[in-house]
Amino acid sequence: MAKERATNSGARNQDGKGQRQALTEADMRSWELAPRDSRFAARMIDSVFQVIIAIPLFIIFAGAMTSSSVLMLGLMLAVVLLYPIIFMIRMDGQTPGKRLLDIRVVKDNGNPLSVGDIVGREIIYWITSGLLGAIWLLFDKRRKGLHDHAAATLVILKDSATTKAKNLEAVEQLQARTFVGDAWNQFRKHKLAMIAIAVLAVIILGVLFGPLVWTLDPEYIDIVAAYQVASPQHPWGTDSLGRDTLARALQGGRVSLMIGISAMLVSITIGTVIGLASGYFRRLDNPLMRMTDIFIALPQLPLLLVLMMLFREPLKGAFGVEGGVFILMVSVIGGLQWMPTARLVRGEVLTVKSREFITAATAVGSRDGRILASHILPNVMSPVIVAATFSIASAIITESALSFLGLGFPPDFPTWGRLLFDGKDYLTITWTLVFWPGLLISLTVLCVNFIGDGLRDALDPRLRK
Amino acid sequence: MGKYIVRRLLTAIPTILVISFIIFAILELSPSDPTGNLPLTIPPEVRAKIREALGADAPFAVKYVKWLNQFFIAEPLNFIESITDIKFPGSEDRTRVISWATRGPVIDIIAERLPQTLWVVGSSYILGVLIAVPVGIYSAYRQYSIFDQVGTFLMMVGFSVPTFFTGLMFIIVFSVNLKWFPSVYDTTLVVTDIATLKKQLAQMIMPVTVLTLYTTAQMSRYTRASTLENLQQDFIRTARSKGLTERVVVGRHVVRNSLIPVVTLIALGIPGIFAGALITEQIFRVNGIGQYLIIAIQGGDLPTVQTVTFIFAVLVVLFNIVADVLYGILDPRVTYT
Repeated sequence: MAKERATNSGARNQDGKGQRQALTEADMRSWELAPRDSRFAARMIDSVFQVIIAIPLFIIFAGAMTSSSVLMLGLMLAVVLLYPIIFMIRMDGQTPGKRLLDIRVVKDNGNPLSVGDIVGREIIYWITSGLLGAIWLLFDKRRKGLHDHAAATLVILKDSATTKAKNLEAVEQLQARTFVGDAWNQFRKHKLAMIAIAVLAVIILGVLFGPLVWTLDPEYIDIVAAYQVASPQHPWGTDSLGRDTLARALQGGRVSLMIGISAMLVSITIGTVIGLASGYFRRLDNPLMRMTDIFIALPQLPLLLVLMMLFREPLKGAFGVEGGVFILMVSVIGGLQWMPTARLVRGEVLTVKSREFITAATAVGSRDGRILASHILPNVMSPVIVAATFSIASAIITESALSFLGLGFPPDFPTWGRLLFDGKDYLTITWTLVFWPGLLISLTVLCVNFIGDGLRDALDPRLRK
Repeated sequence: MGKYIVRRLLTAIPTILVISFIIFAILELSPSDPTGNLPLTIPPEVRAKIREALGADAPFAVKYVKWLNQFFIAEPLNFIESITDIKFPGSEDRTRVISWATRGPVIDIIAERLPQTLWVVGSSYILGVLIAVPVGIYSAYRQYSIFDQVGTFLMMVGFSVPTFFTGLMFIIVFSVNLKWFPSVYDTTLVVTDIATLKKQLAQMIMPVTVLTLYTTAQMSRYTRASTLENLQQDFIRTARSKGLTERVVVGRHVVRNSLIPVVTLIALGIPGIFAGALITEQIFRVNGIGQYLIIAIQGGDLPTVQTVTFIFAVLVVLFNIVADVLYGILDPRVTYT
């Protein structure tokens, strides 16, 4: 350690203004060491610190909310006053963990963080969960990601006494070295995908936490307020029974998104397993691909409708009305959408299988299961992830379509498609009833598709610019 | 080539049989009862008789073989008899696939409803392809231009926004507020003069636009991707360096090659025209095949559902073969073994 220090400080003395200089082997080693393990360790220490700070903070705030005693108010005031100190700790990235491990944070132009950077970082930290922050990031000329701005952990050097030129060198070394890092660098250049992530985040957060803010009961019937287009009490209007559309849309979104994600998991799992099996095992190839062909030839939507009609009753008995329909929807949608994934995976497996490293793995005696799991599967993951994204979108659309045709969940259980179905009979009276749920479906699907597009560009090295 | 087509057609036969069996088996599991929608006052003995007359209580194998016979032998023979003067023996006692709901032959109802579907879905498909191909090619040719940027964004929007939302929005804007077009499709309308033609166009415009938007978005994305791929090929650079005009380079070298996969995609989409657009037909009350299928499913009309879904499946299998064969004809690099 002492030797490394000496080398670094020696190098600094020779450093000219802004002049790039060669890195010694010792420098390389110190940087090699710093990022992975120490960064993780520092974060762990910091999280422990944060938990220790957060628990008393939570108790103080909870106490202040429930009792209005002077003591509690005083404590709150103390917290507000203490904030600058926490802020100062964050300054220069010198959180307790980093300080302990002798780690330093620098910007990607090689300079250490200034007070202005920290202020900006704090502000971005609080707004990046919203649309505004993401749009701001898009117009940032330096093209730094959300993570880099918010956490400023671009480069972490073990030696705190390095120069700007060396920092720059390290930045180049550390940036985009992993596959995920490369992919992320490519992904964030896709502006529409970045906007899509922000919008989708807003929708997901709204659906998850919206009911905590918008506390109207989605099932509350208020006949007097029926058929409103928009009003201060009901900004998204009300339905024929005076139920609040916003509250219902927030609740319905949970189901729609859950179905999208669960059906994706089902279809991707089936598709990947069948694709792997038919690509890897020659004996299974023909029967499995013929089966896939047959499934592709089955008419999708009619069959979905028929299956929904058939199995609704028995599942209702076993899992309750909502649970039964949910399981049915997920398995039926997932069970009829795996074919493209299976074909895709099979094609990828066939190309990967002929590579030398598979022959090598076979030569050292690896079993089929091991070759599949640790050599082939990681190599076919990229297209699978892209296919998974697109299949969320199509599952959400399929669920809405089924609900729209009246074959989804029961009427008192809103999903976005169900809201459209219920609202379409009152088009002449109030248009907001179909507009908002429809807009939410469209926006969600659009965002997911854009993210899929961005992922495809990012994960396929051939498409990288 | 001929050998290949014959082989593909022969292998399609077991596929079609398996599909027919799957569809039939799934539907047989359903609790549907042909007398379920009849008044409750009908005594059980009569119900049993009705069921017997419709053959609903027969064992599965008997029903399946009977249906196969009706579908593959009786109906095609009827069809040939109806369009030609040839009379086959036994044309009187051939049984037909009978709907439980209307008690009439399913094929006749399909024939009755097919024109509406073909008009609405078919015209939107043709329109969509006609718009999509030039848009896709130009968008790729001027990659990263404003046209391309706006175009790809709109393609993604058209591809993502479900037809039931665009359909309802069209009704709200153009039927409810502006009152330009009717929201319900009137099938009884017969085009005889200019006024009725106008009416027919007015009622077709919304469903056709909704479907066209979707088709255009899908097809132009595909055309663009395929054109982009070809624009980067070495033979395009060769063509340019030979001094050919841009017109010839793009028209003769890029477009021709890019359209090969697009043509096969168009062929794969044709079964969809016959299947009708379930959702769009439902929204605009077009009484085509798609709407018929939904009514049949909701009413538990098994023979109808079986027949209609099976016709779709056969068309999908056939057009898959057509697409593969077309690919071979258009692209001499593809060889069949």
